[in-house]
Amino acid sequence: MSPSHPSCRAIEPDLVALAGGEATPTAAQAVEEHTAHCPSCRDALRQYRAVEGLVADLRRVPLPEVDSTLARSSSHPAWPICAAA
Amino acid sequence: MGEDAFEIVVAAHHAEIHRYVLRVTARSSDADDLSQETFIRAFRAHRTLPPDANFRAWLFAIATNVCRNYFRGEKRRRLAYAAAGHDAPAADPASPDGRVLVSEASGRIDAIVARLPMKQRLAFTMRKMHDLDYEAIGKSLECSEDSARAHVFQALKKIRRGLDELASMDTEPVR
Repeated sequence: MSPSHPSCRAIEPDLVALAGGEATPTAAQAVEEHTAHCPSCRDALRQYRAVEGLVADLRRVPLPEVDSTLARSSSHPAWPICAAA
Repeated sequence: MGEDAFEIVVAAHHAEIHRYVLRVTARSSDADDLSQETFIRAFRAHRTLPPDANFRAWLFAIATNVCRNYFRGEKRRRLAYAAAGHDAPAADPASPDGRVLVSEASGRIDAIVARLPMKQRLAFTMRKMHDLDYEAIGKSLECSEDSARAHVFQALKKIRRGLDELASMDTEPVR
């Protein structure tokens, strides 16, 4: 089947959900059955899993620390506590 | 909620809200201002919050609203620059200030995410970077849980296709 086939388009949200660990058992079963005979969706599932892995990498990228002085406000002088966040 | 309690929850969430705003704007100077604005708005409104409210989801909703206003302002600014015949200064989506990306591929995701429509970008960031549930994302974006799920789905679909296209370009022979 091609990615534009109606059944492939219909299964794509379930591929995404399975790759992201959000699929219901019914959706996971549907993906398993579909990908058993559809190489293009099997490939799409592999790519979505790779995307999830890269997203997990991206979450680990250190971001600049928040400037503690910005957590203060002249109208709320008690806010320096934010700096500890 | 009293002011002491407010300070405790601010201390618990300030860094995460700042990271969220930084991820969606990709500019640390703007993220500082926008997270500050989020907490000023929260401070003004927190007394109206029910005791059993999900404070974290509420803060994300405020931050999302602040970011949406920011993007609308950016769009107006770009249009104004364009009308004047100039290019507006833009953030480099592939390398937000001060960030060292763990891999080229994750940097590419960052770049693709930066070009997503606003709601998809916000929904993706809330779900995949901050683990918010779809109900909370829907409330932040003023849409249904199903629409929130659809925004994340569309974002992932575009990321996958974007990476696929980039991979194809990488493997094309140099002429």
